[in-house]
Amino acid sequence: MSETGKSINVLHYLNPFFAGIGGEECNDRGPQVEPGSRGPGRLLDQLLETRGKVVATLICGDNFVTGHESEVTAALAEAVKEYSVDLIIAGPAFSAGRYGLACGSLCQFANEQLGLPAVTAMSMENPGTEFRRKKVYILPTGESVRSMGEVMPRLMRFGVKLAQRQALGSADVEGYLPRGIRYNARVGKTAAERAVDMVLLKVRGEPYQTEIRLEAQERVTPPAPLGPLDQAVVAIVTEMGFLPHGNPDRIASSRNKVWGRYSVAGMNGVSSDQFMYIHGGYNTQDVDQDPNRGVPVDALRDMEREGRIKQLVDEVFSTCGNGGALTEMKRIGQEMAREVKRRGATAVIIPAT
Amino acid sequence: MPAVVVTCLQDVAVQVGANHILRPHRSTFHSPFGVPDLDADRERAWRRGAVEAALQSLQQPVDGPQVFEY
Repeated sequence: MSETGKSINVLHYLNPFFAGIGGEECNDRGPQVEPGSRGPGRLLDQLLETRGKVVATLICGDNFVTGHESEVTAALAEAVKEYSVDLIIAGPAFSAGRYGLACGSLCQFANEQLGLPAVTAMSMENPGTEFRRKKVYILPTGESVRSMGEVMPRLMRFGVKLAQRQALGSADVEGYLPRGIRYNARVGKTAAERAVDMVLLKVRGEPYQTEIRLEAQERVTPPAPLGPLDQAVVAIVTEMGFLPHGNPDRIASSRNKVWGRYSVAGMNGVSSDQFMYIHGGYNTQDVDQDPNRGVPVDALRDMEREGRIKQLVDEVFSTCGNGGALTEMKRIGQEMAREVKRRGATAVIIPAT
Repeated sequence: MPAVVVTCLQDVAVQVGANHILRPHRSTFHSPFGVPDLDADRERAWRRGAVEAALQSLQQPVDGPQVFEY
């Protein structure tokens, strides 16, 4: 039941693949509204039982949404009016990126322009998860469509809570992706007392719960140790934003998505006449003055000349990591790693700020 | 491929799973291979030592994030 006790009218948003219309070839289709449920919407309908009903399904090609957003949101607004919609459920999109972006965008529109509750679901790597920064409720899923049976009940329950205007707890408790919104709450002990309690537990080697959680620690399998240095082919890879004057690759100082490779062939060191650093996360004055303070080309060239190392790869691989989206930085890292490997490097030095 | 992150922000490097991390004590976080207070020759000698330490750290086997200090 909705807040007023009536059955919740749900509009379900799907792409043509999930609606059972067709695959990639249908992704340029514009919006169409069908009464009732389609595809996984049928499961959603069943799960709703007496609480509500999928009154309509909005179907639109993922490609169409980019560039025609206003047409799609207009179709959504019209359907909402025609079917007296109380709640929007979009997806789940799993790992389909364009679909995830479309779901996020429509939920944001529903929240902001129509004043309607909306929820979607997608995998953690989906670029659409960025919409949680716009306060959209997004439930995390795995990558595989096969988990639909596990995801749909969660989506349904969360959607019903929203439509019933039930008070929601924190992201942890309710199972949605944190949106970066902090609420103040009164607890029994002061922060100082809680901090001391935590330190005592930590010192005694007992488990404790941090109040500020950083992103989960990644594990990277350690490589075999480097052999003799005089056989080493060393490459420099950096996120410090090292680049030639003129910034030919247009590396941005923040939220950057590109990288470059800059020749230091024939140079005994890197000079401020030719190079500089662009990065919004630290003061580049010292490294601009002497770029070797960031990328130690002069030291490595000395070592190369002395035979202390076999070779310095004559390109510096560089990007600016400030405020970088994890997915972009992962991609950049993978692309750089491929190239570094192709250049025959056996060891990498990564100066980082 | 062995890769060493050279940074003053060693906790961040540990957090993201970097296996070899060199924490240079004399440099500041915005110039990991520089000590601007030193005169040019001494700074360069220091930098050579830091690069040596970085490469030597890669010769050490590790089984998870390990911070080396210079």
